Order: sequence, then structure tokens, then C-alpha cells
Amino acid sequence: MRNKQARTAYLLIAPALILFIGFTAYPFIWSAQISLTSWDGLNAVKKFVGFQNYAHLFADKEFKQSLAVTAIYTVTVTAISTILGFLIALMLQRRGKSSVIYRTIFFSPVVTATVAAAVVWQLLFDPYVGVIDLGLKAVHLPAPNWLSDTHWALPAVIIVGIWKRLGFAVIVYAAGLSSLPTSCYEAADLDGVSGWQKVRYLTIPLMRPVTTLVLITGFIDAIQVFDHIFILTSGGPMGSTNVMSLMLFNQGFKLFRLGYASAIGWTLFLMILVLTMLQWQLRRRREL
Amino acid sequence: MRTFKKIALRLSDHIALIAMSSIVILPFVWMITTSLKPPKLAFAAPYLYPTHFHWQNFVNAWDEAPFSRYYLNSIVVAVLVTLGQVLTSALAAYAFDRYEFPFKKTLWFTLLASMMVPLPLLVIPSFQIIQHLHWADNLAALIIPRCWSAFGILLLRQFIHSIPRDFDDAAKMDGASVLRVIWSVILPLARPAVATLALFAFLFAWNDFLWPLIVLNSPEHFTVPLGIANFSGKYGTRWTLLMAATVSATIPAVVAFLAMQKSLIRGLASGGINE
Repeated sequence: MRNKQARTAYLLIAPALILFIGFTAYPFIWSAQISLTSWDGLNAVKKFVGFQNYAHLFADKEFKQSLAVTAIYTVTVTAISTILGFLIALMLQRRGKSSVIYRTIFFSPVVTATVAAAVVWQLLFDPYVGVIDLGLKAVHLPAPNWLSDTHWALPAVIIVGIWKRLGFAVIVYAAGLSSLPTSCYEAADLDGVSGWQKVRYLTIPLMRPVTTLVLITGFIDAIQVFDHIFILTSGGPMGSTNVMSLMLFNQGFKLFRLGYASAIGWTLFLMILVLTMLQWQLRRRREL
Repeated sequence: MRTFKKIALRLSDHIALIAMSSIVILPFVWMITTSLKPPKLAFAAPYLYPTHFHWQNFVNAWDEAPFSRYYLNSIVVAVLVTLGQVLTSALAAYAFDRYEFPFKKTLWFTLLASMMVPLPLLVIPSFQIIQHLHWADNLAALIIPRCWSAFGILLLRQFIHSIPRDFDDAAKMDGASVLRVIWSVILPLARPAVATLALFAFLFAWNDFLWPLIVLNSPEHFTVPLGIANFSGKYGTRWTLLMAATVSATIPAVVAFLAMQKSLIRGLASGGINE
């Protein structure tokens, strides 16, 4: 009986498990091995070089810049979209019909193919005909050449990142807010607590699990960003938007330095691992 | 005085919301109006509402690139990935919830942990595997590796857990096989979770760019994102043409998603909260 149970269970898991092993587990482990070689993907011989790729990586100026750019991108996009998403969800509370329209608007970038959206943003950022610079010129502010200026290219791709991510934060926060117990708020109303104090001492603490979720999924999403930056700047100018995924792509599929590219990928993985463990730790401490 | 303050607050909320949603919607508005302008007037005001309806842009865009082909490819890929993920996840989730078997905990933990693996890391060895299988430049490479989902298994398991075992037992008493139970009892009951997973899978496959960029070479296999990227590389600043192409690539999908938005948003929210 027990054996039969186990057999049925394994048969049911088999389709997912085979795909998992073939296209996730095996390539994952293999990539660790590739990262210790100087393989170009064509040569049958994979020369073992130990941790040389990693040593080179951390001495590589391009990689240091890439790490910094990725960190700035990830932190600003996640922080701003989370804060704005929370504020918008708060404002949408108890707003009936119109909140559906707003939610639809904020959510539409999420369902738009990133690549197509990036092409549109390319037009918006254009220094001659783009809406952004037309607007800035109209109010006599300096209008930068966004995508080809080393100081403005990163803010530009960050703006697109926030635009794309915001809707997700709004929707998740809106759902979280609607499931909050009304009794606490009624008690607070009786005590004459002001609106801002209710947000500060009730809503924010009660929403902490939702905030953790929005932050951690946001971080993991943003740290791997590729699509819109590839279209808008391809990492330039002067590497000012060269996030890690782009550097990995260029090293692996343009220069065919598979070992080096895999070492970048593993650094990325370790960063995600640390972030996730940090979240677990925080969650456990709170539960104690 | 107090009511006055309240009204002022509500008003400022409204103004803030209108301002922010206008910014969010601006790219769409700009895209649509530009796509309808004659090329000579591409940069002339008004920008926010169309005064011309130069449909020729769309005719030209569709002449220059086979968008119907891109659509067909994208739909085939997204539909098959969605079906694959729902089926494999349902089977695995059912086994994980209803059965005891050796290495269950280890397997479960491994599957969950795999969600941390970044896709850019996997593309390098995966491309080698795809070449060995002779799937390079073939839609199979976009479909088969994506037909499973750790998130899907997690989501469906949570939901299946809340379905009483009595339902399975009753069906089994009537002589139904395990597959029959999953297909006609569990899946219908787990509809909200299945809908969430289906939408996530579809969105993911529909938006996917890095992997198709690496795997596909021939334009006849391009998906919509790849087609658009290619188009924009070719017609860089012919904005009216380019916007006609992006309208073609985005609007039908956005409309389809907005039509389903109720279930999508509800599902998204519940998926997020249950985590």
C-alpha cells in the first residue's frame, strides 16, 4: 500500500520534476562548473581555471560599475514603487467606482510587453521631440539628452522601471488594505485618533507582511532587470546603465566568455540568496 | 471647519491620483496619437489627442514586418506554456498535498529554493542544452523548458490543501482514477488558483524577451517582443511607423487583459497575500 502510494505520487510529480531537473537544476549546477572554466562555448575542451573568473570579476572596473548601477537601480525602483504604491492604495481606499478605473490605469503597464513599452519611452525621452523635454523646456528647466547623457541615462531607466512596477505594488497593497480588520479603526475613531496617526500606528504595522512581500519580490525582480534597458541604452553611455544581466548577456553571447558570464550569474544568484535569507530571518524574529 | 478640512483632504487625494495616473497613462496616449499622425506632422502639436487618422502607418508597419506571424508565434507559445504549467503543477501539487512519499520534504524545499535562481544565470547552460537537443531557432525551446513552475506548484498546493479529502474519496468510491479525480474534482474546485497561475504563466511567456533573443534567429519564429525589438532597430526614428507597430504589439494584449482584469487582480492579490 505504502509503495503503491509512493509510486503514484512520483508518477504525478514526474512531468514537473523532469522539466525541473532538465531545465533548472541541471543547468544551474552546470553553470557553477562553467564559471570555473575559461570556456568559449565552441571548444570541446573546457579549461579549468579555478576561481580565476571570480578573482578577475572583482578586479574588473566594468563589473564594479555594473554592481553599483544594479544596486542603485534595484534600491530606487523598489523603494519608490513600494512607497508610491502604498500611498496610492491608501488614497484608493473607500473610493468605490473610481478606484476601479485608477487601478486599471496603474495596472496597465504591468500587462504591457516591456519591450514595446521601452520603444515608446524611447520616443518620450527623445531630446527633440519627446514629451519630457518638451515639457521641461516649456517651464524653462534644463532639458537633458536623457538616454545619451551619463548622468541622466540611469534615472531614465529607473523611471521606466518604476512605471512598470508601480501597478503591482498598488494592487497588492489595495488587496491587503481591504482585508484589514475594521474594528481597530473603529476603536481608534472613538478615541479621536487623527487620520495620519491611524496610518502611522495602525496601517503601517498591520501591513508589514504585505510590505515584506512587495519589497522582496520587487528586489528579486529588479536585480535581474534586462528588457527595457537593452532597448533604451544597451547599457550605455559609458556603462552608466550596464546592469549585471546586461553585462552577463554581453560577456556570454557577444564575447563568448561563458565562464566569465557564469561567474556574473552566480554573483547575482548569491545576492538574491542573501536577500531571501535576510527576509526569512526578519520574518522569524517577528514571529518570536 | 472640520468638514471643510475633510473636503480639502479628499480633493487633494483626487488631484494627486489624477496627476499620477496621468503620468502612468501618458506613454499610451502619446503612442496612440503619434501612430495616427502623418509622418510629416509627427512632431507637431497637439500631442494628447488625435486630429489625424493616418491609418496608412499601420498598413506600412504591417507591410514592413509580419506582425500577424509574431502574434501567432506569441499566442502559440503563451497558450502552450500556460496549459503546460497548469497541468504539471496541478499533478505535482496534488501529489505533494495528498500523498506521503520518500524525499517529499527535500523535494519540496528544492523546488521552492529554485525560485531564487535568476533567469540570466540559467540562459548560458540552457542554450547549450537547447543546441544539443537541436531546438535552437525553434519555438519548442520557448515552450517545453517553461512547462513547469515552482510558483504554480506552491500556489495550487495551498489551494488544494483547503479542499476536503471527502471530495476525492467520494469520487474514488465511484471508481474514478487519480487522474480523473484531479481533472474533474480538484481542478474545477481550484478554479481561482488555476486562473491566477494561468494568468501569471501567460503574462510571463508573453513578455519573455531575453530567452527568445538568445534562442531565435529567423524572423518567422519571432515572438511579439522580439519582432518589436527588431523593428525598432531597423526603423529607429521613423516614429509614426514605429508607434503604429508598438500599438499593434501592445493594445490588443492590454485590452484582452483589461477585459479579464477583475479575475486577474483578484487572483494576483490573493496569490500575493497567501504567500
